[in-house]
Amino acid sequence: MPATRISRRRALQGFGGGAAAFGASVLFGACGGGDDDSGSSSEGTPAHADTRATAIPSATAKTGGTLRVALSGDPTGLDPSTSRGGNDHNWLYSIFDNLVNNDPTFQVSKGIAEKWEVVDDLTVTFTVPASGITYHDGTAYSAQDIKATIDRHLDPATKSFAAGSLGSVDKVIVSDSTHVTFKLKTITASLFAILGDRAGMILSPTAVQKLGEDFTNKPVGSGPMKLDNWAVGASQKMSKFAQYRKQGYPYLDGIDVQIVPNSSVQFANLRSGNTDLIQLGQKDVDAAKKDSSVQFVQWPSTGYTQVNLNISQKPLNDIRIRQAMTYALNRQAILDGIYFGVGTLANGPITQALWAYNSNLKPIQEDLKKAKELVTAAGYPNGITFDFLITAGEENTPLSEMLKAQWARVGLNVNIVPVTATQATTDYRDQKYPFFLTGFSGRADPDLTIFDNFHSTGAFNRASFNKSYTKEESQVTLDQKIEKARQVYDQAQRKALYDEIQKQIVENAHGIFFTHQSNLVGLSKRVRNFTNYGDGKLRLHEAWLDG
Amino acid sequence: MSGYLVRRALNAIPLLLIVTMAVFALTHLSGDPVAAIVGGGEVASNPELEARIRHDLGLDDPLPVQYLNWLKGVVQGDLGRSIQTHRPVRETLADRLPTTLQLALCAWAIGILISLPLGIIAAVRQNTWVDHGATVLALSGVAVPSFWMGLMFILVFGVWMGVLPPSGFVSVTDNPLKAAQYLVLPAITLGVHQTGSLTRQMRSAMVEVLNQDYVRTARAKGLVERSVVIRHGVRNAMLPVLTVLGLQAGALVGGTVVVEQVFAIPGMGRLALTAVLQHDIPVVQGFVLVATLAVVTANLVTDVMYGVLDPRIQHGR
Repeated sequence: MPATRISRRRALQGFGGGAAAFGASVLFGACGGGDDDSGSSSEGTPAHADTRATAIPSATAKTGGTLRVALSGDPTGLDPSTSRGGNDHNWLYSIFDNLVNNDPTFQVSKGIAEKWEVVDDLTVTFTVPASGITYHDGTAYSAQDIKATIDRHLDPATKSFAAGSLGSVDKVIVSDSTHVTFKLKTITASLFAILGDRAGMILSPTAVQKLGEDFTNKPVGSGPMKLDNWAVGASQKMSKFAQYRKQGYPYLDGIDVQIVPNSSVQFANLRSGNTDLIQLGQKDVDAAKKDSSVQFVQWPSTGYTQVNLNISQKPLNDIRIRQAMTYALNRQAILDGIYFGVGTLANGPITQALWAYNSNLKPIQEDLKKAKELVTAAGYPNGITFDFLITAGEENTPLSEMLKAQWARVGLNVNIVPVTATQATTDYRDQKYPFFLTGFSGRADPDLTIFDNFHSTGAFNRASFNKSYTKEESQVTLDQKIEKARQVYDQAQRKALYDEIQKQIVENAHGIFFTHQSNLVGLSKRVRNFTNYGDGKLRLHEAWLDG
Repeated sequence: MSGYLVRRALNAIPLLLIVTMAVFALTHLSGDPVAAIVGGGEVASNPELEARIRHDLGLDDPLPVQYLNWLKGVVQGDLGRSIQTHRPVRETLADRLPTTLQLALCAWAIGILISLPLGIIAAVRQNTWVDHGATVLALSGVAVPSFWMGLMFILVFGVWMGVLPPSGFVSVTDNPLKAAQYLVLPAITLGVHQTGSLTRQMRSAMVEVLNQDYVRTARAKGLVERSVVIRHGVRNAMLPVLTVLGLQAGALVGGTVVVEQVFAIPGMGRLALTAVLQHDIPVVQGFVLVATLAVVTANLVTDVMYGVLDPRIQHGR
């Protein structure tokens, strides 16, 4: 299939900044200039983004100053292999350099690698510098470190949480000092997105060997910031790495992260001038918009709110019950009542933040008559009662009550079972409950969201833990489509396949989605050139401070 | 006296064993620690990885064996490593303890400074509006939830007036002035919560003492009222108050959980909350050990103080 090969080469050969991307200029009208990996196009700006550009006294980036950030919790660790939390990247992206990066529209962009090429279905080659990169411990980089990093993930003794995403990598070959080749077991369309995440963060092999288990507390990469101090539960101090590979970057002298668990207190710190950057809660959006002393930016998130279904369990193994559950919902009431109107109504698991978003798919409209008919057709004319697992919390408790009330209108009566997060995870894994109220933060590639959640063997699909699961017809065809979509490199072809997959997931209720979320960031007036990414993970090497 | 102290210390050992054993069992019963590790993450796990983690952490041993292994470590001064952060628990506790001690001592002092005068005044002006006002004031400190009071303090003094930092912590040893600025709001929040029972206890003890014959005699001798109240009243009323103060030392450890969370103070309370939610058993066990020791010590000090205040009480006999 030569035509396909040309197409995917075109699609994937990167020359840095060539991919469609937007930069901080979209948000603030300023641009860092210089060797800009992230691009600066504003194409593809989702309709509901609130850019709220702030007047910039000077368009020229300034160096110096320490950015004060308030975040709600510590990272789970700072070793890209053994850490596992979604917030870890807020530090990891500053400390480590990736082989390639995901740009703000989740297209592959330059990292350590300057070029990449899909040589054949199972071979991807990266062109990397032979030298000129230094780690924070003063040791010099070589192309061998890329192989060492991937091999470390794949070694079971490492207990790497990133190993699962690299499961299709057969081996990494360092062809010469400037070429590294990934040999794959199967076609892996999401490889670039995976390498733009923790799996592709290149570690100092010397530090890995020297520090052992303590590497997670004293990480050594070649990123723009080095970690100086980590007081667990209190703060992390990072300072500018003077030998960073990109000349002129970072602009900041340092980043001080304070751990402030309560979002209202974080916002109080921003308003009182005690911090420069916070991730806002939906309840604070109105106040942030009205407060002239702060900047507010909003961007579609890859994340969505949902109930996670185990369709191998009764009564959710009956498609009619699942469809009744989705038709019984008034999503607008959920968006307004629980999420303060922030976000959009969900039409499936892929949001506007990703290129695979299906704009033709409309959110399912409330249809109580149809829902009641489905419940009756499923054999429950007098309704049915079953358990609904939730993690008790500020947001989940009222949301679960609202869902309960909406479902009760069509005879779907749920007993809410509120427990701690760990208890819920344990119970849900152990097949004690058919569904669980938990959102999903989304991923940089549709396969990483779709496969793990909706394929019958997906790691987040708890049906895969059910030994006696007999797949329903829709699951069989869905599995086939998901497997096909992950084995196509061409993005246009993938988009068509994912459009179809999303439609099937929604119509056959393999998932029940409420809203697509927004990433909400509050900034002090002095922060410039900040880019809000769809995954909500902070990349701060291009930000600077004005005053 | 030294024999008494040794006996009390030995008595504490079974208490520590029972408490740590109970907490150990409860933490395990309320969820799988490995699920807390992999379930709290965004990355996909698999049964093989979970089995390896379980084995490496010794979580595949029977529960009694796990507890005995932990106990063996404790005897050797090793509290283990956090299963979440991989840091030694002893170091983590040593980092957090001074922070919580500073907060708790300030809160305790604030509680005493508010409650004792209020209780004394209420007793002296018994059944007047001053008495009723003092009671309402003291009880409102208990009635208002500390998380709400903390948030209101942050809003008023941190955001609207901008005179105090909304959250955070600076150690007294690093910068005493800054430390005071950071401590004042959380210490008042925590301290005010202690005032209800202490004020009521002080008042009732004082009322009882002020009706005693020896107080009447003192007044009959022509002593000025201030002298009667302080020398004959307060000193004799302090014994039951001391009991409450001792008990409150333990309650303060619990109170710091909420206040440290609201004010983002990196102390023992927040550590305990995070560890419980993450099923970080070594950290939970370490915290329980230290907290139990703190309560035992506070009660021991209280008992010793009885002897100081009332020479008729003699220990060790």
